[in-house]
Amino acid sequence: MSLRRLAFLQWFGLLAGGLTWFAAFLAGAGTSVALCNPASGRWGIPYDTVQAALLGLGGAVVLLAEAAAVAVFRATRTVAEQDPPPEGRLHFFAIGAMVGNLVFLVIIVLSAVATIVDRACHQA
Amino acid sequence: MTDFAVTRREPSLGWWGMALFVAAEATLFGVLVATYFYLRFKNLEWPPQGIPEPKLGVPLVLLGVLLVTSVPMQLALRAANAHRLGAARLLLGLASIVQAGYFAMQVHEYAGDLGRFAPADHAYASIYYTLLGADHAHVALGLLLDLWLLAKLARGLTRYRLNALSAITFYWHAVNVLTIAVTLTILSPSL
Amino acid sequence: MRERVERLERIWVARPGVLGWLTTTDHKRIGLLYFWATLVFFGAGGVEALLLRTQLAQPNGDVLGPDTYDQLFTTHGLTMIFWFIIPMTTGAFGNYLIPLMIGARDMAFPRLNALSFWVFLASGIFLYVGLFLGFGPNAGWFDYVPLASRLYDPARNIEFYSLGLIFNGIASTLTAVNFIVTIFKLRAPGMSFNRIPLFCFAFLAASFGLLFALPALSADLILLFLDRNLGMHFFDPAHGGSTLLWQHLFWFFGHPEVYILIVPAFGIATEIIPALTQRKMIAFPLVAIAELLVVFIGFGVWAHHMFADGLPTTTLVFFAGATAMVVIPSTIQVFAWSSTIFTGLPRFKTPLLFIVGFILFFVIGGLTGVMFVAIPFTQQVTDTYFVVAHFHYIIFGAAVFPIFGGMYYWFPKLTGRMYFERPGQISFWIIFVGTNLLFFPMHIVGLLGMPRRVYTYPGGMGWTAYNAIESVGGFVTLAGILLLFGNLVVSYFRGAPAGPDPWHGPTLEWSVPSPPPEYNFAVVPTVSSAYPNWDEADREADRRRLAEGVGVLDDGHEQVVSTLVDGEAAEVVKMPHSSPWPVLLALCLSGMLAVLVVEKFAVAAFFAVLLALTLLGWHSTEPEAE
Repeated sequence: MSLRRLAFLQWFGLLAGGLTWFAAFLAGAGTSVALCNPASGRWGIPYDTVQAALLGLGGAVVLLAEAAAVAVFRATRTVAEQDPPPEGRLHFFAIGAMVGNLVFLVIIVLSAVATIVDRACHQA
Repeated sequence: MTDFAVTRREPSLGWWGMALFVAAEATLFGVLVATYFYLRFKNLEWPPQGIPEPKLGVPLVLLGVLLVTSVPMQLALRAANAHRLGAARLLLGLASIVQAGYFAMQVHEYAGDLGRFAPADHAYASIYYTLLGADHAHVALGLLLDLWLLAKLARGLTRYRLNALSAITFYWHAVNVLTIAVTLTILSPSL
Repeated sequence: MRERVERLERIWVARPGVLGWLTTTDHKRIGLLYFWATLVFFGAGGVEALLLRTQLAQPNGDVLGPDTYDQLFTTHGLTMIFWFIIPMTTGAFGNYLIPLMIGARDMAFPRLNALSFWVFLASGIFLYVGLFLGFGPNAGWFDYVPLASRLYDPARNIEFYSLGLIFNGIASTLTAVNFIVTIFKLRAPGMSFNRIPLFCFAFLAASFGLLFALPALSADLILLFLDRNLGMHFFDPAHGGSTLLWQHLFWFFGHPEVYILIVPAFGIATEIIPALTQRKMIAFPLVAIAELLVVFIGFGVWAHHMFADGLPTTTLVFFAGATAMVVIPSTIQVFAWSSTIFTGLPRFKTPLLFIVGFILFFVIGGLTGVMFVAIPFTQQVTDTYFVVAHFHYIIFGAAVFPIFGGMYYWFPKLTGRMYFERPGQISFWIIFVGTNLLFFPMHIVGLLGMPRRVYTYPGGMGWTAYNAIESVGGFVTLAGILLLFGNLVVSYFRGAPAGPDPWHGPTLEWSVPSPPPEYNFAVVPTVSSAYPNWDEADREADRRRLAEGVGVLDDGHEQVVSTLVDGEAAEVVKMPHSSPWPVLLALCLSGMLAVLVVEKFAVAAFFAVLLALTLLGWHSTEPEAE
């Protein structure tokens, strides 16, 4: 794989997962705040559909990011983490991305499943 | 004036400082926009009785005018990078005049609104004036930066002033983008 | 070679006397200024704590009345968080060490650095003037409305709160910007991103945290100021506002804030452990990403501070999910630290003792934190002493212990002398026992129903004995802390000479004399790993280059700028050195904010004009003109 391609995959793997989780989180939590407040009555929010879409889309991007990170990790398998850049840096970021994306995926799944399954706007 | 390297590929330290400051300000605006919608969700009537819905025409035109100034700002930077000081000064001056005109119109509109409803009337008014006020304050700051830079460039071009121009241009692009978000938020009841 | 070094010394000479300190832009001097200032605030916060513990030592205490108690516990919390831990870790440790660890001669923005300090100092003076005038903040450190609204808190107390914090927030934001640009751009060539010391990763994470969290607090404080002083209605439900809005904005800041408190301390731990075990950190890339992840995910958990507010569960599950998973990066770090100690050759000197103590406290505090993921449990223990126990285990254990350990560890570098080991170890044990006595019983008494923030409590509740133990623990801790500082003071005058590298430490600060010269490095250091001081070949290369006069950069106050990701040399810049503008600007800013408390808006505008003029003065000199 060319260096340019590897670099793209590394940055995508490192940044896309986290940014997607945060966007999905803001959208998901924001939608639940909108649903469970007086003014939303007029808007007819299809809550479960929205949350399922966020789960699907968000989950897909995070999985792609994970795949990208794994690809870079395997391509730089023989590189040590303190090796000179760019290979050393690519390998280093790939390791970090692989762990991060797994965590983001679990958060997205946990939150989406819980909010869909739960009774809408039931007070804690 | 002092000689310096032409079109360095790396943004300067000053540009980085500005970029991070902009990130913080963008977060501030994000939080204020979130506040606007949070309050909106809480209120059945938005705006409440007695406060008129925002008009679309003038604000959208003014937004367009402001966005257009990104072009001469960016061109000014390009000219300065190519050592064309005269063109840079002219373009920066042009952008500043339009930005100042925009600001003056916005102050007029703001004052007009204050005549119709006050920030202490309702939370709608409170967030309306605060969000708009924050945006206008950032435009005002940009104008002060423009003035300073024009004064500096009147005495010639140095690496320092070129870095300043790149930082201030970035600032204006950011303010313009933030103004899109603010304007759409403020106009959302009428959209 | 001697000539080049002498030339550097002449260029980088500090102005003498008080004026030198007032106009300094040297990161080491600014670090020291922060160190002493924060110690004074630590003392103040400690006195407040001991007054609280004296009042609570017995039921129906009458040492303090309720009003005074409210001001003291609020100011204690604010002081410890905003005027001790954050400025001690970022302002003192961060400022002093980051340029040294990355091979730089100063921060990216030296004058901005000085400004941060003076604004920080002014904000603390501002807060305490309020307290001494009897207008100390009194609605808790998180200052919920409607208690903090004009209706229930009509006097100036809350203005001292909001303006003091806005002021303090400006200082922290400037510091954060400085740290990020410095770590991004001023690293020695060869220090690519995978070779940045873990201490710097931690400070990078904390700085991004500050940058993105503080705007929410600033917004909240401004909205509160507007509600209280201009009759607006952000938090007033009768006019379309929301009291919960305060909480959302506050905790959007407040949760990242707690990670900002402990992540720099993690950074201190991740330097002490390799040095005192002579072993590289296990799973280095995982620890680095964990530092960044814990802050990043920490932006998505804020409503776990609002689990008892009556929000819908459909909203709260988002926060519960993230709260459960934010534990993962912390756990990764705990395993990495512990296994590095187990598989290394640990020398249990005082710094490592504090780090082991820190790990123990952090695990306990972390476990109680995980318990809060369960919404029903949180609803049982909200506003009880169980929460107080949790956060003190984390803050004292996981932030203050590494600070103490770091003081011992870097003492030889700052002073050129070694501290006395025996009293050091004793001070650790006394503090360790004292803090457990002080904070552990709070778990129990909280589960037994004792509410927090009460100025006294009745007898016969089963709380009395625990409170008595806690108060004793407070004074035991005091004894340990006094011994710690006594030891450092005596060691400063009588300690054995330490030389540049008493620990055989891994990072670059140990490759320069103790204390470091004003210019830090005579040549730009060669770097090929995150443990540069252990790379003997590179240090030898530096000595050769100095002898040949290569890479000395002595044509003014010069500094190498590198590319962000791969640390390749890009250009040489000239840095500012010694300037009166930062302290003058801080004075104008102080004047402006101080008169806002008394609502003299016209006078504030006058100060704003002075501010603008000072800014013009600041930018009137350009680097080439040096």
